[in-house]
Amino acid sequence: MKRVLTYGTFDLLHWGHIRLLKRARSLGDYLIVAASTDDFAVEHKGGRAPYHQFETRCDMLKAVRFVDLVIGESTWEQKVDDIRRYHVDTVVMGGNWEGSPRFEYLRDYCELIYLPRTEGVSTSQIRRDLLADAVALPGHGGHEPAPVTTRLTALPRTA
Amino acid sequence: MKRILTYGTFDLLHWGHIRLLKRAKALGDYLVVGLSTDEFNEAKPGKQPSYHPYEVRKMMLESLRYVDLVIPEATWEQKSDDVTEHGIDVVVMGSDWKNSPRFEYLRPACEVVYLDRTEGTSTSDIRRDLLFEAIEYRRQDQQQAQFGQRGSQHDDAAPPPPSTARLRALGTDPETALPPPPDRD
Repeated sequence: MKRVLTYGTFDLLHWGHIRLLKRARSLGDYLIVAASTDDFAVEHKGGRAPYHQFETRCDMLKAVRFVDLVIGESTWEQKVDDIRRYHVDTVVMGGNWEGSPRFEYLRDYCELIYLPRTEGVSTSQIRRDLLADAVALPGHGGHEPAPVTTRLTALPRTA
Repeated sequence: MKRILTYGTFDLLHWGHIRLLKRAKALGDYLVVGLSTDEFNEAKPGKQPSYHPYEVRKMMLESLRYVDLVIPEATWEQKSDDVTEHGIDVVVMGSDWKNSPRFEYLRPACEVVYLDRTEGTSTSDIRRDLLFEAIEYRRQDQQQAQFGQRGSQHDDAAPPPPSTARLRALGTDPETALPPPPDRD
């Protein structure tokens, strides 16, 4: 049985994620997904907290039919341990990581494959598009007064 | 075999959707999802068009292990036909539809069950949260720019409103990421 492993935050699950997971699963028989913990995502991956917390992101990944096991990713250095513990044959990452020293050294331990990302689909793209949508809503453009941001930010946030 | 049917838009798939689908599937053996078409959504008054087009929403639903079949929902009236055609035993909807005549009329043909929604998770919540978040980042960014230019800050007035032109430009440049918030003292 060929085991495949991939890493990511998988926040606001979208078609780019699903497509990557599907293709990763098709490279073997068993797909393990390591989801970044909240702390790891904030400290090492751009400083912004994911919208969904770790447990929710894990539960969502478990609902995807191409995913066989979900584990946590809390350090950059855990990968060799993961490969040994789960008998991983192939690590798969999105093409944006191609050639990165964060993954290249894993070639000593297993196969390493970069898959092309789906053009124009990313969580940050969705965040930006939704913002653009909201800004373009009638009542906030043209000669209407701009929203008062101090009032908006005082409203409760559930994230 | 017990067949379950539910309806929805399932845009920006979130935990509330997945939890509902999981519980719906648990009521039987086979789950059919009636997914609203883009045209049907746009015809609903006051409803924002979905972020993802029908084909993408369909593929995402099909990738969930609880979903067995996705069919299009293009009219309000098709439901009794769907129940007959797919041999449905139970129609399941979120409790926001409780006792709605849109679903209650199906009762002679099948069971109708309303499941509680997950508190605080909806596509509109997500859209609203992300907007507030983006406005906050933008505001902090502008404040930082002001500090940089003036050296010191004695201005107690409200921060300037976000420039919508710049915000929109962020959506068109794939390399531009919203900046992380600066540290606050």
